[in-house]
Amino acid sequence: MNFIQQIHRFSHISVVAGAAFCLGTPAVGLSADEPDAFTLVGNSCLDCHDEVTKKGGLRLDNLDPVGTGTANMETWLHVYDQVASGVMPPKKKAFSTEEIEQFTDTLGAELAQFDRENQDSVGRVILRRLSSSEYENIVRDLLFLPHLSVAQYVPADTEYHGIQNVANRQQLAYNQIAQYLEAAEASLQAAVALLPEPKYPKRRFPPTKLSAHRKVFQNARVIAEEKLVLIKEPVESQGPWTLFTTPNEPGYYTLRFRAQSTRIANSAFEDNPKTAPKLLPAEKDQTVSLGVALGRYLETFNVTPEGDTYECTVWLHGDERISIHFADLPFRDTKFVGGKKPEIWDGVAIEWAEMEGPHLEMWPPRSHQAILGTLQMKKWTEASGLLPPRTIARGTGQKREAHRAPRGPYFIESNDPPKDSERLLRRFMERAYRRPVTDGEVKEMQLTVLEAVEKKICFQDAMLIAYKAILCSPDFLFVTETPGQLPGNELATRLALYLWRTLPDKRLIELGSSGELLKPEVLRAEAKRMINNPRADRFINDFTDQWLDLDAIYATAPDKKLYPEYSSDANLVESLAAETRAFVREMVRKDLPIATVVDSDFTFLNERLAVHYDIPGVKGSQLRKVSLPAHSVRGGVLTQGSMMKISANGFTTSPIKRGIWVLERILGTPPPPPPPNAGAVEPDTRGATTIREQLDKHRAVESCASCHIMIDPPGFALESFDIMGGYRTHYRSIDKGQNKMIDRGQFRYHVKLGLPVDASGTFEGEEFSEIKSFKDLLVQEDRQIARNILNRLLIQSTGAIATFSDRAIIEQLLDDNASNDYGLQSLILSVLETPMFLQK
Amino acid sequence: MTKPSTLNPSGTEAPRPLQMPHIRKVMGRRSFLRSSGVAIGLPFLDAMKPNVRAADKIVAAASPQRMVILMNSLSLLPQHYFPKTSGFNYESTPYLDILSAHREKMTIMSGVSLPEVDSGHGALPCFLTGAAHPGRPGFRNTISLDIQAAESIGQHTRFPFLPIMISPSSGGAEKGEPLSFTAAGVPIPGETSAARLFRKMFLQGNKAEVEAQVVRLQEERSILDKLMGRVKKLNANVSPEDRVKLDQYFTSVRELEQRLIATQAWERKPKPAVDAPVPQDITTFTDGIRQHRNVFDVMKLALSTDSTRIISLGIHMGSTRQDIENVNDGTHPLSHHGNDPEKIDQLRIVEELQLQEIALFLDGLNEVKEKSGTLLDNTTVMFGSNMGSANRHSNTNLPIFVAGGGFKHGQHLAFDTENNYPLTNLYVTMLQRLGIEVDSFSSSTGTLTGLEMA
Repeated sequence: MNFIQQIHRFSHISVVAGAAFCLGTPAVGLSADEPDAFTLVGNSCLDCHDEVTKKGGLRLDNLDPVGTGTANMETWLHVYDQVASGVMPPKKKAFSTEEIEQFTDTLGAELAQFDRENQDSVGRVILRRLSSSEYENIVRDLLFLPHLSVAQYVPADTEYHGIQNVANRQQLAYNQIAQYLEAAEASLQAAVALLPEPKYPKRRFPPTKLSAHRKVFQNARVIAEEKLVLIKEPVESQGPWTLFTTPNEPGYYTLRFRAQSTRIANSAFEDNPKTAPKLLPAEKDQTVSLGVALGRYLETFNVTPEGDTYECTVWLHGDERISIHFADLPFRDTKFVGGKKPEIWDGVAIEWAEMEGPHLEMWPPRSHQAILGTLQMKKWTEASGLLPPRTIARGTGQKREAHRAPRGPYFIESNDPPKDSERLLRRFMERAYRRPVTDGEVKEMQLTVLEAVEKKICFQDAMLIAYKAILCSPDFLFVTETPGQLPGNELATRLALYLWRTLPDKRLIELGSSGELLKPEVLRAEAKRMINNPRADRFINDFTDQWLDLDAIYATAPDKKLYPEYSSDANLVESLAAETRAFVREMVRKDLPIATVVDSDFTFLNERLAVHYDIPGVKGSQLRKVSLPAHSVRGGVLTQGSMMKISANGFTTSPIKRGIWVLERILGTPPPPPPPNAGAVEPDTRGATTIREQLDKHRAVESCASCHIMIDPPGFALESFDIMGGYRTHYRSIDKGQNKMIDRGQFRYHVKLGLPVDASGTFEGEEFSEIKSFKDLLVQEDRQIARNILNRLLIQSTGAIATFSDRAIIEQLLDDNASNDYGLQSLILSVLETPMFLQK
Repeated sequence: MTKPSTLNPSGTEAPRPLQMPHIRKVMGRRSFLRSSGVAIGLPFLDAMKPNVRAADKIVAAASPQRMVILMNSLSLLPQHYFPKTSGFNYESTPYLDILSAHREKMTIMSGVSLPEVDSGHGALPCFLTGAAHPGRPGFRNTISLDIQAAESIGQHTRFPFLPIMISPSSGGAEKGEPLSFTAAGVPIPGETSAARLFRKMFLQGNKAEVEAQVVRLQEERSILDKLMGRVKKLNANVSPEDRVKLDQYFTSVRELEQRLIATQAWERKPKPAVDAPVPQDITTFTDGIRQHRNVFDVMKLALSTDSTRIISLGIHMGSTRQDIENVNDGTHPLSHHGNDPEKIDQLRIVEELQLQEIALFLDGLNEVKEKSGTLLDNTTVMFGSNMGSANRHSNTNLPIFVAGGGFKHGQHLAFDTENNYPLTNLYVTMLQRLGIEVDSFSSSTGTLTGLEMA
């Protein structure tokens, strides 16, 4: 049995089964005298899989016959795969070949028939709610607030292998409705600007005004030659120095500073220096980043010894503290060269910093106009006879509560509330509901407004009640679709949610409502247009994050004792994540073969990554495409540092975790979960034993071996990479081992090297000695990798998990894409032509 | 040769049994052939109604019974916690020494875990639910112990239950996960601000503020009414399968409305007066220990004023280094000690400080005299963790103790460390102690053997 067959054994899906189905083996035995699958299961499986024994956690006694609803279909599919692959019934009660055939034919026919009928009558996918990221994107677009962050308010998604929009995994409870109410309120408040156009002059800060944190960092900053000098003294964390605070107004700001890389003598920091501190010429660039509190990086710059004016234009939520970081600052316990502070420090000298903004495109802002039009704003007095306008909180997210300061009192005046509300609500509802709305629907919401106006509530407050209801209504939150072939407008929404993760644009809406979009050539042309639009980055990023769990890169921090050189290196972590995103984007844009996931002759690097990967000749903080040397262990997503960090825990690596990661995320063949009492490996950093030696013991147990023979080898191959993806030949140790010094210019790190790494193993019956030869074996599995990706794309584009009947279609798509080696963009687009995508 | 697609649930997922084990009769071995989904759709609230009356009776007779759950997500060093001997004369350990004042009012448990609850840190959401295999794709959680209890007795207090969280972290994965889950498996996040809790419980707004709040609730109710009306209209046009989803939406909206009605009623009732200042929230991430004190103080007030009878506290010490002498790293990194003796010693310092705070909390409860016994006698406090060893990320042999609640305490109940005893049996005992008539919860097989009423 070869590897993939074995893998299939594990995933309980049989090679035989798929083949039989693809050949369209006719159904046998649905006639009255032949037992159906339900009866067969009743006869053969219940001794072990009843309520009491429920072996392997599986209960079949409460299973309804195929065809009685979708609730049981996944279980039936599981039963099918188990029997077809010969895993079940177990050895003692094993079916003969004929019995297997009889069972799979019977059940296969029933499943296929059910799928057909189900798709025609109710659809493959049940009513789906917007995922949290779809919700956020859509609200951003509806309200023209491109950086609104509300995903944290709305209910978290129940993930399926990382995929967030699977309809039958979604649950709803009362507290989530409350969350939707709050999310709607936060979003709407952020949209309203109940104040006259504010004027913000450009502000320049001289060195003396750039010193909010003088007390904390007294020793690391000084003014010399009329410049503020910051030095790279190790501090608690990345030690940002706050430069200034922005006004309480969200928007785009231009941030600018004039600086140079410099050096300065230690004596400059003495309490009463005898001579005025002087700048010494620097030889190299310093990498610094502008950021805001909570570690949000805005932009990273290389500050040169010659000096320059550096600037960026970025969105700020308002009232944010702009700070400057050394991107490569060591952590506070770092030992200095020679054990004492250096005589000469590296640093940067800042001449001035400047802030311009917010840049107002129009007033009131577009977001305000989207919900309140251009109705006049007036100062509120008691004489108006209206109740006082409610406080509008500007800004969102973390800062929201702090912003609850009255900004008025102003109110929006409508001379004709019925007409104004009708007009504004209709425009908003059509966009929010992604379809034309009826007069009745508009009236219903309008009633709320008019009732409130009647009670002397200000017009804008009355409108906000209706908008809140709209953003919580099932019409907005659910993706409503008609069984059978999707009508044009529903197809337009599906396409937009798939490739842009948001509402359809005007063109797509038009093509949808005219029915043009239903023509295959039009659909394909639109999809091409969309995937080459920058908006598709949302899709690429979401796909990458969900596929590779990229967000988890922030979940662990490197151990300071074992890996001091990685401590607090936010620049490295950010660069690692950026590399993976850029790499997948390149694969999509250039339609690169799917095997590129495993190996490639290029990647995306900046200077920090190049140092990390030991690749010469890359300078500066900008990420760019770089050709890799012929014998590089890099190339492909597989060995990127981001992946190695995600699959480690900050202090040790686990071949099990990494092996499962390769099986699940790359090959799409996750192993079954460990049996109860499988035991856990005790991480040990004392250097006396390697993880591999510990696993060898585990594999000697027969019940463990059957799975670990699959899981461990890919994990072993990746043992050549440490917790951050650095290449290694030896493990680190805290006790036994050889001392090693890592030299990083001004700072030196002392670590201990333990036992050597053994990255060899057997994959697909063939031996590999290290990562390169493992990759050579893995690239041959490109069809399986493509199958995994197609599967994920089908789930993400439709919201439903593959059914039995889908399998044959997936195989067909794979055949179609084989000639271009399963180009990633082709795979993404090929989904569009399937009945799964075109029908509910 | 054709390889069928493999990213489907069958490979890694067992079908979930119905989530109402406590009301579903045990089916016969062969009842399968007759069944066709009869028990589906029994609303939870209705099923629980008889028990509400049962709870009322008990409440009328004596001081109310309360339940407090303390969960430390990074576990405790087992070598310093578990006694080596069992029974009433068990030999104390360094950690238990800290709690020694309450030895006669607490029971130590070893060899217990939640059956089939695995996946290391990933087991956290199942600590109070006992739902099996949280790591599997398609996992759906079930109702948690605190919410299950609140469904029966929550209406007696301003807060049906209080989920609270201590998490001295800036955010991200370290922020801590909820322990409380509704019957649909939806998480209810814990409150992290002691000050906010205090204000909600004890600070009476002025008349205008109360009225403004009532108007706001009224407005939200009218929005909810509108949404329910909308579902009714949509229902006519959708397939039965989709209708199930709309029904769930409808039920959620209606349930929220009912809760708003209850909130509105409480809004006009005067809040209890307490002789304590509003606690000062700790905004740095380096003083998790003082956060314990803050939260415990508010918890004691919440219980003694009968503002709630059910509290679940999740403690997530996280990765930020705490400002503690001789501790050089975050608690989470220290828990991955890899048997480094230095790290183990530092972790012990943190855990001992945590246990000292817990001891103070128990002292506080024991000082409050009630109609019958002390507040501690009327409060079942359970301490536990979702992991037995954080270094191994194992989910067996959990460190558990139960204090108060008027049980016959003072012993170490040592169960089989190889073949663990289900912790959910303790949950059944705790529910029963609240006067709720249930005989099972989640994976339970009965009530806790060896823990009797005093």
